[in-house]
Amino acid sequence: MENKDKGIYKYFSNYIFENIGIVYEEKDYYRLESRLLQMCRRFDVENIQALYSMYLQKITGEMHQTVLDIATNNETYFFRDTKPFVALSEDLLPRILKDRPGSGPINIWCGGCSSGQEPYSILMALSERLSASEIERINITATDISSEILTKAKSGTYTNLEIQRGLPITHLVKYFSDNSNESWTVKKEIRDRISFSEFNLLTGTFPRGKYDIIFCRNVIIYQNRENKNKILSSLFESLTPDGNLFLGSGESLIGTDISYLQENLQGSMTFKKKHKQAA
Amino acid sequence: MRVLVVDDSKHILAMVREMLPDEGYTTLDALNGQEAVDLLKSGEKVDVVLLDWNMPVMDGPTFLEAVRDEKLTDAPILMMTTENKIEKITKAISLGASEYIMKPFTEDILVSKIDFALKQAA
Ligand SMILES: C[S@@+](CC[C@H](N)C(=O)[O-])C[C@H]1O[C@@H](n2cnc3c(N)ncnc32)[C@H](O)[C@@H]1O
Ligand SMILES: [Mg+2]
Repeated sequence: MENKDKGIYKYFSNYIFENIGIVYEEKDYYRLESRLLQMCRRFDVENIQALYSMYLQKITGEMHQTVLDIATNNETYFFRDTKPFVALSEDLLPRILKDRPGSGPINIWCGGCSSGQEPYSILMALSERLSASEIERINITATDISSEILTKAKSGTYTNLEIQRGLPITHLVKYFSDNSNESWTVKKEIRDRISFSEFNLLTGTFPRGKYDIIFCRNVIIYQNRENKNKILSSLFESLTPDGNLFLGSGESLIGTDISYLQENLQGSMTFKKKHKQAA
Repeated sequence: MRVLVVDDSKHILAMVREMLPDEGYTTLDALNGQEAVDLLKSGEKVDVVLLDWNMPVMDGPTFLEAVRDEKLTDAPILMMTTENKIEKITKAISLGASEYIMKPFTEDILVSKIDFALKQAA
């Protein structure tokens, strides 16, 4: 790679790091290249040099958003890792409902929801287990940094290949409608129960003590230690005193300076705040 | 694990054999529902069945009915077909199919669907 190109990669990797916290090191520049080429096609510019000049001139809102869209890895599928959805629907939610009878809301946040498979899986898993009046109490907020992926998530529309990744056929028949063009859409009554919005986990203002359950899976793995710490502390602030955090199957809080309690629910790890003992 | 693959396309039979990992899977082929019925009646034991919809002699739904009426096997049956409309899927489920693989599919989908159907059956 020529030095002047290196400068360009450095510029975009800095831009990405400062805005999303995702780290592209020199060894990752080949991955960055394919993403920058994607941007060239989108803006219809000839090459990466031309793209760079364009960014040096003026960064419009659309140009800013495009970097966020292309820099993120959106890999996801329905019922990813299975166990968290079992833990949630067969253990945690029944417990919460028992401890808190009545009609008060139960708040679930899915941070880094990508194209929506995760929040829809949560709602389907719960719908299989809970009564209609119990489901009424569930509020699901699903957020992501990428507005492009959120548009897809909101549409709830997936190809034949996407619906075959992790989604049981009985769920397809029950919760989706057939578009008769090799694509399927989550039924409106399910879609309407999830509120999707843009939220940057690195820079956003977190609501305090609001969520009974937070899913933030396979999102912070791309962050450096300092950012991981920052995001995880904020997520813990957003949990209710008894709230539970689910991370991706390979992720943990080891190496952060957060004090937490860990619980194995049906084979799935969940994390809670550790409360200071009264003296 | 022994997989009975029922499809009138030799190409699909070969592709499924190719896609399934060598370790742990063997396949048994049938070119239509009738051949599959005969294999099961002759005492062949299988753990899972992959079933095409459109085939000469005996099609997929008729095979499902035969399995149900004559109790030919307890193995989970997965449809593997281009008949991907919701009415067809619902019909196959009502006749006893436990999962559905839409053509074209990937190796990941094939293996994970088989896995899922076996876990459900256990
Ligand atoms: C690999 S996907 C994981 C999706 C889903 N949680 C799962 O586990 O299947 C990671 C998602 O996190 C989002 N993301 C990455 N950095 C983020 C940030 N700083 N704030 C919010 N979302 C972010 C990406 O846009 C992407 O959609
Ligand atoms: Mg055929």
